[in-house]
Amino acid sequence: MARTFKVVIVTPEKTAYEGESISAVIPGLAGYIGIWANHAPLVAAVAPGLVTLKKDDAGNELRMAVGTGFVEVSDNVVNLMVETCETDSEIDVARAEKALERARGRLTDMQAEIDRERARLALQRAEARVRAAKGK
Amino acid sequence: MAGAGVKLLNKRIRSVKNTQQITKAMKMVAAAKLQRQQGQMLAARPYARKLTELMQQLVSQTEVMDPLFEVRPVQKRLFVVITSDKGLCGSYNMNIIKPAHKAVDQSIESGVETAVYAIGRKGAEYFRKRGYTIHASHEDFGGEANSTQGKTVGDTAVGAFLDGTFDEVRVVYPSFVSTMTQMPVDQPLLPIAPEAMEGDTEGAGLDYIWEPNQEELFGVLVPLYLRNRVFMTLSEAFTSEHAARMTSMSAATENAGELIEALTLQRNRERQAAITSELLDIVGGANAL
Repeated sequence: MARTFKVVIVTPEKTAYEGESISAVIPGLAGYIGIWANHAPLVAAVAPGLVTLKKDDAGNELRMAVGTGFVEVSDNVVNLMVETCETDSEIDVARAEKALERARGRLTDMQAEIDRERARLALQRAEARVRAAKGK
Repeated sequence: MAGAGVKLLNKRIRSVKNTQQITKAMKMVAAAKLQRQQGQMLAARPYARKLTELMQQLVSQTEVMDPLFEVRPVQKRLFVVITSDKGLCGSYNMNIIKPAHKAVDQSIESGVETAVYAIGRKGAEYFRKRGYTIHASHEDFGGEANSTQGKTVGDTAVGAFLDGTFDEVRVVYPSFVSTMTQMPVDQPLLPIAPEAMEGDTEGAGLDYIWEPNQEELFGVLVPLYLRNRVFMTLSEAFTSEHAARMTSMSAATENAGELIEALTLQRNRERQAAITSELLDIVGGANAL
């Protein structure tokens, strides 16, 4: 049985990532989803958050902050379709932290329900970016 | 001394040369924009394809009915017509406007209330001048597609479809065949027709786990899918626009070149004729002495 599987991440702008991986952790709507090789066919909605790909047994990992989208798993291929995807090296930590602060502040001030949902998503995105950049 | 005709010709040659320089610059700008827009279009294709595949699978495996799939008897129809904001791109706009005009007229003749959603100033002006109902128009997209535009246009269409303002939404746009060829295409946007999503899916028939569940997935996927489709359409239309502009500007540059050649020939001829007649005068004068 195969030990690795293929991961393809596409965004409306480009194919952001394509490569083999041992395991993947993907932010689902209801919590993180762990995927190993030979996973059963799956389609899930993806929430803004942190995607972690394990590259080898030595513990090399790739971290990416992704936006809303979907993941489709079949035949050892993981297709991630997300609005945005940023790898840890692309993220400006200082900026990401500032955005996180802003999002937190906005959420506590917030009154209207619709704006709250938007602020919550913004917070999620900001958190994912900071976590991807810092490697936690 | 050169005659007055030569002077005039010189002036015209200079003016044509100036025009040629401008068309040449515009051709270069269009070429650069074409390359960028085409790159963006190609880069966006994998995402659009995956999204469509997912949509097909979800549709083939579920009985979920989304209001956007609802086929109603058509009493009111909306045509989204994509043209350019600026001219100087040859017959590009007419190639779209003509079939669109025909389709709109046919729709009106068959007793359907029809309106136009004009993207691009040229189309908006054309239909406005002729007294057609304009549902909405955008005249500031500037030939570069981005996802915000996709969202704006998609949401406007969806909103008008859901609240019953329109029973059908179609899009008329120039599909990009090659740099030399753009084909006007008239295709339905809403309601989403499951059978219209052609192409076979590899994963069809697989027993998927749906997370969280099919209804909720549908709710998230449908707006995303629609926005992306509008975005892809815009992207393709703008690619066509730059291609058309580049070809027509390149043709204009060539024509200017030909004109310059013809004018130069004529000028030289006249100059020579003037010199000859002056010489004759001098010789005639000398002989008379």
